Amino acid sequence: MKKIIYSLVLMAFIYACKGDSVSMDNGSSVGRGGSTARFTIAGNYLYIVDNLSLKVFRITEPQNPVFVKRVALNTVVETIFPFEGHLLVGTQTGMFIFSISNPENPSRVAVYSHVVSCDPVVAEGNYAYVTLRSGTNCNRGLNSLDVVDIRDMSKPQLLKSYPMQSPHGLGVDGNLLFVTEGDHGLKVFDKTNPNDIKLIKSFNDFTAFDVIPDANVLIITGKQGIYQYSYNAQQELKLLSKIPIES
Amino acid sequence: MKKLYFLAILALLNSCMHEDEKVANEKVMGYRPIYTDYASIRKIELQKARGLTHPGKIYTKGKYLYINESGEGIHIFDNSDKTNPKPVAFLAIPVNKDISIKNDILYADNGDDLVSIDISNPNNIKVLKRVEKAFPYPSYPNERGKFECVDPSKGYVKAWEYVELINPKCFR
Repeated sequence: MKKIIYSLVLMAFIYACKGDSVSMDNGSSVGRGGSTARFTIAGNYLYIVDNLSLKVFRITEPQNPVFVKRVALNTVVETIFPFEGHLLVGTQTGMFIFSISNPENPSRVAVYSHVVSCDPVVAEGNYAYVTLRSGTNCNRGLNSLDVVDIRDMSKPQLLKSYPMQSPHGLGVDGNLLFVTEGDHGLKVFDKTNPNDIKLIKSFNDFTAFDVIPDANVLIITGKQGIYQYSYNAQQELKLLSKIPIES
Repeated sequence: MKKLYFLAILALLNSCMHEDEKVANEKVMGYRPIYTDYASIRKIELQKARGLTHPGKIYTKGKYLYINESGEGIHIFDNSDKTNPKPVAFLAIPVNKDISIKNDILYADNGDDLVSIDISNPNNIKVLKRVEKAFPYPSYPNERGKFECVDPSKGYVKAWEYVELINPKCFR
């Protein structure tokens, strides 16, 4: 009996969380970039990461961006992802988490460190997904996907690490996790259980760099062009179009 | 005794320095900055749609899909029909890599400047503001190795070329 009650309570929680994330997306006047974005907008502020710092611009008057603050990071910064009042910043030494409860003064609440590598980050629900890639400008490093528990943003904890081949970018939507693996194509995972992320499908016939999952359409950048795939909860993917690259 | 060591180290250091001076005209492979003047990189304009050659980052908002052409600007596509995205125009923004859009205002890096651009009519865009020196001047190449030190008075470093250099003073 107890178990049933527990699971009901748990389901209610999960349901509530889902409701939250959906409502956050609604009525947004801001567009969406890929996981390798270095610009992001949260509220009336534009946050930009350049080589070694995070910069804040006020865009209360949208036509008139005003520089507000520079936060030095002392490591090579690669990507920025806004998430529930926070900024997740991917650097070559780890994921920095900033609170933007005071939007003009991002305050660092945690650093999730790892070996030196290239690493975009995205998040959904209770988890952040960080890919690590080795490469010429990233020194040593691994090729992996880290699932990081961020229920407490000030104490990010590695839940599990999964080996990858050459992850360049990633995106999440609902139960699905998409990882672009460079020359190794695109991989689609079921992330329902973060302790046991399952590979559903692998596309090896194109080179994939970054990805945006947006309203059941996946936009992928690759060496041969820009692809759009439809996807759904039944985990089916269908090619909609390809904008080719002219040689 | 300690003093002796110290002197020995000094002597060693000294000899290294001399070594460097001797090879003043050493030819090595390295990176040389390619400069462009600010007037030309600050020329933002709408051009007719063209094909993708080196696509970079992507951005989506409403019915439009924006595809960066590495270092050159943004391809604008009408993506209302995702099975058939239609090219609308090319927004030339020299040395551009990243964008973000809120409402009808597009923010973009343009060299070391940040610009805001009104894109409410994708056939008639307007540059609204330029925040000069919003980003660091590119003072070194991405790749490690020797390179010719930059001289900001020559303009903006648009790219680096890997060539034979004579005794470059900078390295990373």
